[in-house]
Amino acid sequence: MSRPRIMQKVRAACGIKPRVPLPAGFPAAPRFQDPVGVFRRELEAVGGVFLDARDRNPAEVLSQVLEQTGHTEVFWEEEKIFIKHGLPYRLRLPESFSTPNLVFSYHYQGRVRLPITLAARSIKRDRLAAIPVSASSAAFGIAETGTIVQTVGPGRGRLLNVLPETHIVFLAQGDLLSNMDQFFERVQPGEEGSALTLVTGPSRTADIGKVLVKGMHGPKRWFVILTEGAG
Amino acid sequence: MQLRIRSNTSAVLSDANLQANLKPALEKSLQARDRAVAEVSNWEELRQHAHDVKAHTLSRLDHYLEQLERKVIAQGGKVVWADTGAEALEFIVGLLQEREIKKVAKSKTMLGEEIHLNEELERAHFNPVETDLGEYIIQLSRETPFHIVTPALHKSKEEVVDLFGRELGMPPTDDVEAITATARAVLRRHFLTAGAGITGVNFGVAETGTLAVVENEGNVRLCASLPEVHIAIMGIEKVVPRARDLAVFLKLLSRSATGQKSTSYVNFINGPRREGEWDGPRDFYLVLVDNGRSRILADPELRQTLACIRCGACLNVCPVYQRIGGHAYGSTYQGPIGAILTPQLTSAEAAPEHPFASSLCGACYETCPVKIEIPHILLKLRERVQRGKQRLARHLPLEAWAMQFWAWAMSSPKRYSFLGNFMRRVHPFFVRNGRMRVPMPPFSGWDRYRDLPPLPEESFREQLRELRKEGK
Repeated sequence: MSRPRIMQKVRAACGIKPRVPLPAGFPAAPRFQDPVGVFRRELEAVGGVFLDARDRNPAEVLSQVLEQTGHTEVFWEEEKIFIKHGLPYRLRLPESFSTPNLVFSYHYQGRVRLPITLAARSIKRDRLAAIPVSASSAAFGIAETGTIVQTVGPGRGRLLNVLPETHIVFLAQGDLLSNMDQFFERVQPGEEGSALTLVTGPSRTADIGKVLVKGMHGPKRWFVILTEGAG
Repeated sequence: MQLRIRSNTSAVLSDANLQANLKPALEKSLQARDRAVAEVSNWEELRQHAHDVKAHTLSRLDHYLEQLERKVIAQGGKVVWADTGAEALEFIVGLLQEREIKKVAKSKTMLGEEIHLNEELERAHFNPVETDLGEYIIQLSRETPFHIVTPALHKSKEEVVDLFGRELGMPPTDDVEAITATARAVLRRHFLTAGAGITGVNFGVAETGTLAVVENEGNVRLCASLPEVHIAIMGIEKVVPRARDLAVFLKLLSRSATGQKSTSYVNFINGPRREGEWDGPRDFYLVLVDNGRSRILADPELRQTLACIRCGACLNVCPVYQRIGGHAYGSTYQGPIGAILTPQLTSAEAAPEHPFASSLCGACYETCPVKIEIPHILLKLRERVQRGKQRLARHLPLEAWAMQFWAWAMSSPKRYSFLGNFMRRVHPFFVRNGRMRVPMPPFSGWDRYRDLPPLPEESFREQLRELRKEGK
């Protein structure tokens, strides 16, 4: 074990110079008057698509996204997140709830059908990687940078948000924050789950000839649907 | 082995392709950075704050490392301490052997480059796969990173098409989207079959045990989510005290590195998967690597080198890097930060030319988001190299005598003015029209690109005396 040796060296090194005081936290930036406007502008600037469903039926907006992208099926992990965003649905219970990687899918054909029928099924990792469209609910939005905060928890994993080429995020209006300072006032990383990701736009790379390309490893198309939810 | 720069430069300077493409590419990064920085009205305050937080953290590094360790362990992670790169490699190789893992998905980590992780894993018959597109290109072409943020900066689209054609059987194309899609498909298969993921760490938050890793592609997310084992390697200097400090550091890092307000993904990792979570690694290891850092910490003048957040902005702005690029440095870290970090991580003797690969213009300091006084440190390191050379003065008696004579002459006003007068008298015998009259080794050649101006008849002091008399 090298721990004692390293700690001894570090301790001795720290001792050669007086301690420097820890500065107080940097003053928090003021909040925005119109966080939705800022959020929309920043999100679109990084290549995301913003859809306002505050005075529309979110299920209709979801259907439109599917229509646009040429898909008929969307997968998500928790049926309860859709309660928050006011999506009317009817749950068809799965055969077994005990299998991990349970995802819910929703089929539609051409026309919007309400309520949505959810069917739960268990899925293996390879199939998970082949899913074309997924949806999730954001823990928070951060207007300053057009960022979405995604957390993990029981029944809410990491992979379904990042593997598919198209990802749709539902964000409740009440969860939209102005800036990172406000985020750190609300959230202590690690408190809720083992991973938390700040997502700002689709996956991207500029490694070949400095040309910006979307969808390197994660989603190529990234939609955020703002709902009336209280947060 | 000594790292040399000078002998590498002529090849780089005569590489017309590189010379034509390098500066515009760096200018593009710089412009994006400048735009992003100009938007922030309190940029200078942020820089100073980050500088102060780093200075504090380094002065209490022992405390914060212990706190970080406690927090990571409390969340179910394991913490491994490595005094040297070799120790870190030994642990990683041992773990992979024990778990019978062959394939490892890697995200970009400069520390991994520093300890030659890929070479070592390959030598031990493992299969490390770089998953950052730039690093993957570098790995396939068996090169080293050209830049700490954009490792394949020097590769043209055509070169990548050739490379992917040769290595992956990709049909020729002109479309960057298609090239990227090929890489996505190939790397996705690797991700799904890798037994372990290895990532670096940008910031380790002592207060919460959070490891923050920034990226744009999503490969860090996958490295830290898909395989059963996640190994994060982190230099011991990367600690920050509080989660809220990240609000400042992330802003400085993303804007300085790529001109983005935020990178596409900022991953906060708090240990392995928890009860009820259905994906994520079952085992999480944090490898804390010293590899010379505690020695840098022990030097009061040079300690601030450890504040670096690896944004790469000083490379983009450096007139030397803009001409010679990254490979000429021959070291893991290039540009101004590489010039100060390399001799300190190794030794002044191992990288004697690094502190001299700078014009001391100061642009690196102006650009540095944590205000590291790079020019000042360069001078300190130069002094060390010279002192080392003085010890070798026996081999260079002429230079040593000349310097000693110079010191003797300069230390008395009388001697100084006498010798000045003497030089003004003899100068015309040796120099005419800005050139030496006869070649005088070892000075011959010096006047090929430089004029030797004629000396005035009177010294400055004499002229001043005259002026004062007239004034009266």
